Amino acid sequence: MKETYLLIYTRYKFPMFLVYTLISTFGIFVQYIKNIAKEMSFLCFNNQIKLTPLSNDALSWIY
Amino acid sequence: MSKLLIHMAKNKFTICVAWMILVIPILAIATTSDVIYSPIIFILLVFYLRKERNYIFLASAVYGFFVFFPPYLHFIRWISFFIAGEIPLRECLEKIYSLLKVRSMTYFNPPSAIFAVLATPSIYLINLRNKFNESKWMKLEH
Repeated sequence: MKETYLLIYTRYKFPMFLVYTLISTFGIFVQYIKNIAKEMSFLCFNNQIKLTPLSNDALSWIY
Repeated sequence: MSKLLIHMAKNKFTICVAWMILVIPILAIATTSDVIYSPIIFILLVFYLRKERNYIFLASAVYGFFVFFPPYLHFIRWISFFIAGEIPLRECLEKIYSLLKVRSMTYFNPPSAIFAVLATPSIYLINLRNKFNESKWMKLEH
């Protein structure tokens, strides 16, 4: 048990660090981009309108 | 252990696909909800599958749980109430079970369920390949 722990800690320290940092930075990057896209979507003019069969009047199409 | 399984375990491409099946949900969880613990779980699984193991079905069940319920830390909050002495253990377990049931029924995610089910055969094949490799090494040593 102790030998395997020491082997893992000595030999696979850097690969563990690399895998962990790669996956977590990828996740943080994608979540950041998603957040930015969510905030940018407020600039989209037609984003707030949801067309339903009942909202068929002219104004809802113009906005 | 059939002939087909041995043939699949000896094929390098199959093992690559099995590792992909184990990696993809981890990346999906990291991009959606959990950034800290999903890589840790993957690294622990990699070190568990370094050589032949006996408890692969337990490991695959734990991995499937972590894949199927990404916000698994939500289940701990009832344990804190139990430790504080506000609710008995029976009620705590009932709350956790009801939360699991609600999550699996309302927020059911088919891709994550498919990956959680596919994790078991892929871990089995990786373990089988490790077994063959170990026997090969034993032959070389003796």
